[in-house]
Amino acid sequence: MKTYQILIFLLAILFVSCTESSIEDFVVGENFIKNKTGIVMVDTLTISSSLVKYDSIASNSSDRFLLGSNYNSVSGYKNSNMFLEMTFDDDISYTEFVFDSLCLVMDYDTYSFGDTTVTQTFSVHQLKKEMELDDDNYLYTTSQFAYEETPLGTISLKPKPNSHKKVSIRLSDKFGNRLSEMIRLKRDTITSSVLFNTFFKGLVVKSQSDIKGAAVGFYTTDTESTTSTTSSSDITKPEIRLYYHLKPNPENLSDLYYKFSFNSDGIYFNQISSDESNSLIDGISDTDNERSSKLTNNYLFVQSGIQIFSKIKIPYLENLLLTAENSAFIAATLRLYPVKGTYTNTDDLPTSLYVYSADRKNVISGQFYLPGSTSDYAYAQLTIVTDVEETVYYEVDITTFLNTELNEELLTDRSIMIGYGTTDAKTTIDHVIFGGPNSGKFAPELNVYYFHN
Amino acid sequence: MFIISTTKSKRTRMNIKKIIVALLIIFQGITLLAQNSTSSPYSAFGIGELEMTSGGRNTAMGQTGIALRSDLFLNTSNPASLTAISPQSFIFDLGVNFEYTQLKNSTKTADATDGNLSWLQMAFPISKKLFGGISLNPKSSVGYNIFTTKSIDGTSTTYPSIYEGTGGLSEAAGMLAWKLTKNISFGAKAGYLWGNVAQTLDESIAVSSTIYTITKEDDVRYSGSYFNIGTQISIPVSTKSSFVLGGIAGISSRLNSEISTTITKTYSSTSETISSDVKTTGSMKLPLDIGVGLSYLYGNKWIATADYRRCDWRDATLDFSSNKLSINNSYRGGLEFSPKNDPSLFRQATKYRLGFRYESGYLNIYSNQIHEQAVSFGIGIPIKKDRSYANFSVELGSRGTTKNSLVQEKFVKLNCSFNLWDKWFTKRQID
Repeated sequence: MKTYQILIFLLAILFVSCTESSIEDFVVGENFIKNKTGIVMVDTLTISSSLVKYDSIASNSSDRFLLGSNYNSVSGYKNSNMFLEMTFDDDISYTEFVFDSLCLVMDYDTYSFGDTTVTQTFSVHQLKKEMELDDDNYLYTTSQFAYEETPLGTISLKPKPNSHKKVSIRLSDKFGNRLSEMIRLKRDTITSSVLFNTFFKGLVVKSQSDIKGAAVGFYTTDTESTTSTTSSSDITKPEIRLYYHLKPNPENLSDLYYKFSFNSDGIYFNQISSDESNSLIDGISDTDNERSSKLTNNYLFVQSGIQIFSKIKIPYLENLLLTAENSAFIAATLRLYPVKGTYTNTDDLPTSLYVYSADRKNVISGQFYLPGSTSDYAYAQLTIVTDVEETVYYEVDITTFLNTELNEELLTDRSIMIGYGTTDAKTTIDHVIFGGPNSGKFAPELNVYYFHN
Repeated sequence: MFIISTTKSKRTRMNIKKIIVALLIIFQGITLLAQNSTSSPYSAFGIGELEMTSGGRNTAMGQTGIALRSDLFLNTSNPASLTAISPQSFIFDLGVNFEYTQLKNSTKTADATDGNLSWLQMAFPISKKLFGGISLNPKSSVGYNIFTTKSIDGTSTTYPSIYEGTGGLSEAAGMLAWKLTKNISFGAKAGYLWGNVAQTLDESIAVSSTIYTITKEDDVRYSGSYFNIGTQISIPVSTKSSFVLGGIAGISSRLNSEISTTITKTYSSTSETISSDVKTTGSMKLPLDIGVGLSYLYGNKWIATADYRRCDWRDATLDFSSNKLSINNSYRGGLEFSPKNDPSLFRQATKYRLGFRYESGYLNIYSNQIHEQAVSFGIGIPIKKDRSYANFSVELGSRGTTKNSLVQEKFVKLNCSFNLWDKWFTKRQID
């Protein structure tokens, strides 16, 4: 029986025989296995780029009134006027009063872009007709409404967007007296907002165009003061104040006014125009609103207010995988470098830009996702690397875009559009100037990573 | 003609029981053969680390065997040796091994322990002049984890690259030996090889804020066959001593491979297959071993033997890497001493064995030949009144170099084998 027992013993040994090792982190020479398999990065793919201007942006009911004019050499002058409706929202406490003055009062919301040291002139005009939305309930940066030539008032100032001071534009006394009379009589035109609207159809605050100044923002809502300093008063949406005093004034009341407030339930929008003459995109509308960056001093450019996108195309993308047989696409990033000197401070640069895909007619088909995500879109993120020298660039992961392109049977002719998102587009007049292809160290970088088998 | 009567002896019944157990073990063994029994990065080359599986006695004697003959111990390195077994006997040999390896490169050391079945083999006489044998054993083992750092081609960015290999080839062979005269024997061995070797390559890079892992899986399915011959000639010198001259040669071999490649890309908990199951087939000639051996036997107590083998791997190109394979020259020597052996007594004696071997190596990496050298010690202990043995051996050796980012391995191989001798069939007993 001894043999039999031995066999059982061996059987048991076989069951426990196994491999155990501590070589998990045993690193052998890099070329221990010499083969060509590995990850390759290619940054030599041709990029063609251009600037694409879009007609108009829906700009009604945005969170900011934009007023002012700024300039850049690529796209020329930008100018924004604000259109709004007012309503009387005060109780008529006194009918026996003496009219003092009529003022339009607005609060800076701290936004500005451009040169605030330049004196700019704003004028307030009464609208001739009530504003109306289009069929889709929109008004655009290009929408027009007629207004009285003669302004109710004007002001010339150097905007102080961070001053927490109100802008007060003195309006015509004649109009003030007329409103005073209506208040004293408690006219329906004053007390009913519908009737008031037919009497006072709204106003436009116009900025003098073609000024190399700044565009500034004003609040559209009442806000509690964010500063704790007692000197600053509460922030208000735009309002017209009719200042008066009592005569006699037994209680010695002062600083009295009746208030006509901006009607935030009504129609309001920013009208933004541009003057491209003598700029790098002068006459862009004659060439389907597109201009190659070769013709713009090798600049790429994004602009808000007037929507201008940087369009990136990779014309020989399909060659990538042809040149590398057995290779598999992994990922790709695109970097755009803002040209140093075209911005004063990196704080002036937006922290991210939107990235869209567009068809061959430049019609935007939407944003694309980050790899593996069905909820997170890819954005061009501002990256500042401070080494010996400060390197500033926007990087976007375009893996999903290229994946879609590479999986198409036919050439799609799709392009990547980089620019401001719709919210920024209607509430800011910003721009960033990037280097275009062949512009040396600010040229865009397309880094394509693939696995070479 | 063998007739098993209805009235079997006790011994015959024992035999059948044992054969059933043996078959069970073989069945186990087939699945276990696929197990890793190496942790050597060198197993990434060729068909993996080659196993030496000719028998427990051979292992203790420096893996010699071309000129070894024995009626007690199985030796499959030369099929002609089967003619040494006595009529109506049956030898069954089962071996297992454990290996401790210390790996060392210029900066680090690591260790690994592996174990596996070494062989299952048996031999039996067919007639007075004809002998047969079968064997089942691992042919090669692949088991490596190679962690390297590569740089993305076109940048200075580095990324981890991990190669992992598992699997190996198994071998099943049948042997036939023919005793031409008392002193001249010929043998032939035909084998079938099969197995799977899987290599997985994992490479990870971060692009933007996403980490991508590329996994390339190469699954190689091997199958092939070979045919070897061998001869042994005994030359008596005196009544006390004799020589044995042996020779082996590979006649033909073929190994077919079918590689399935799958590349997957994993990122942000998404996994997509980039390309799958790209099948490529290949075929190569396995190197044909040639070898000569000489033994000197003295007074039933001493056996000294020496082998030389040559194995040309230069045309064997089935390989993941572009490293060239070259010729392996083996020089092996062994000694067996049985101090109490006395053929006049029906009692088996303990065997003491030692050996050495030097392999010039068939791997040539960075123009460095990966040699291997080892010394071995062993003992064969009788385990029954009759002629079975338990063999234990230990082999101490080293392989490779720490130069040029390579790896030096120091290993201790323990081998344990059970050489079971029994009567093949007993004659009918008289009622």
